[in-house]
Amino acid sequence: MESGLDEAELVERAKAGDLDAFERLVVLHQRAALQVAYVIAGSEAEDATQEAFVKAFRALGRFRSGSPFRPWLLRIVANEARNQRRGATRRAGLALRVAERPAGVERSSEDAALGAISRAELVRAVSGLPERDRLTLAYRYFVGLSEAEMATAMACRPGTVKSRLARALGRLRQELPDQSAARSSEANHG
Amino acid sequence: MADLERALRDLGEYLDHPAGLNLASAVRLRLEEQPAATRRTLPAIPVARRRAVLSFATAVVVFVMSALGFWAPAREAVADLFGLRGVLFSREPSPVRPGEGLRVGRPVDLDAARRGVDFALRIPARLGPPDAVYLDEAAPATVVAFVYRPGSGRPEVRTTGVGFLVSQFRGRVDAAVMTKFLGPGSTIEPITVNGGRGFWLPEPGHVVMYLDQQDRIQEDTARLTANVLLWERDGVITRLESRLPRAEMLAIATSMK
Repeated sequence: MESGLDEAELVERAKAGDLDAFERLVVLHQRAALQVAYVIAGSEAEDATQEAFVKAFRALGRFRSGSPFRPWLLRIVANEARNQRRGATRRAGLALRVAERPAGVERSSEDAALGAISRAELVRAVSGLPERDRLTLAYRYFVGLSEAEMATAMACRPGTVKSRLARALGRLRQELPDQSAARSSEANHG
Repeated sequence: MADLERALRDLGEYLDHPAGLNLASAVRLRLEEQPAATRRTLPAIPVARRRAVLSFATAVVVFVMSALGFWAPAREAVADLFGLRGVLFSREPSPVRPGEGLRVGRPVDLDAARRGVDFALRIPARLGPPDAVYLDEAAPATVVAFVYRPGSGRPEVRTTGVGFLVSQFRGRVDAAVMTKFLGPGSTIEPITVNGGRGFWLPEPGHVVMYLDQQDRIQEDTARLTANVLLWERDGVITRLESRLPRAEMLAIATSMK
């Protein structure tokens, strides 16, 4: 298929049944979809994401042309991830993990220095949050949705997005170890 | 708060979720296999469970067929039962062409593949002639794929029935473009192959981005869940996919001079 098609064009073609166009949409959005599915369903993320894309294709007739595609898609992904998260995963709780290396690109030492918050601490804290908080943080910080896009994905008003985001960040801070104490301890030992 | 938000953005890059290898292909396969009218009645089966069921079913079939092969009376009795007397049970390799299902284009012979592209196809001397050749003219750049069955020195890639895949097409590699779209957990190592600029992408490989002849960015998903070695030379990209380690992939690449 031709290159250079923008997303809206791909969506329109996919709506008309063009599987090539939909496949390109999957490639474009699979990473974001997996991130969202992962914070809800953990190890079930891959199944959930695959199922969500299949359902999204079938539901394209209900997608309003011209509106942003990603939030609409991620809403389906989040719903499917909730469906998939059952049995052992639910009983054992969610234990998100961090990879040793990020997505292929070597990180600079500047990027690696994140103050006193380690990734391990942060991922543990995120894992301990209620599902809605995890999803709110994932939409905003992992996927990079705007507040307007989040409102679409979460089916709520933009004002509600702000308050949910503030609450999620507040609860996250409570889950984290006391960073000022950690810094002070490091300074004393250094 | 700014530190925490920055740390969260950074964490998104490091989440250890599955890389989604071949997710696009898997989704497409699902959509092609199940007509819309019947799909809704079929419950979704998790990937892991599907694999387990498939493995079990395959094991049962292999066991039964092995038993039939070794014990002729049983073979004939079952053949009678199913009305198959006279049908020869053979141990010959599967006649299925390797690579079918990989979506690498239409099967052609080597001469047709050579006529289908405007560059010289190279065959890896270490592997010899391919077991199957495909030509994909629907791709942004026409792709010729050489498929090799699993065998000595070519371990099967998962359950694909493929031991080695070579793809050749016109294009240009660009480090910035390649790295930008790599999936989480994927790594990339610049490498020189046969004097051309190349990259080694150990499993899990992912979407491979390249520039076509008009310098437009194109994406292509690695067909196998495997290690990938690709390089560009004289405006042609060659991509190798297999379970072999880097050194052996490089040796095969070198034999394509």
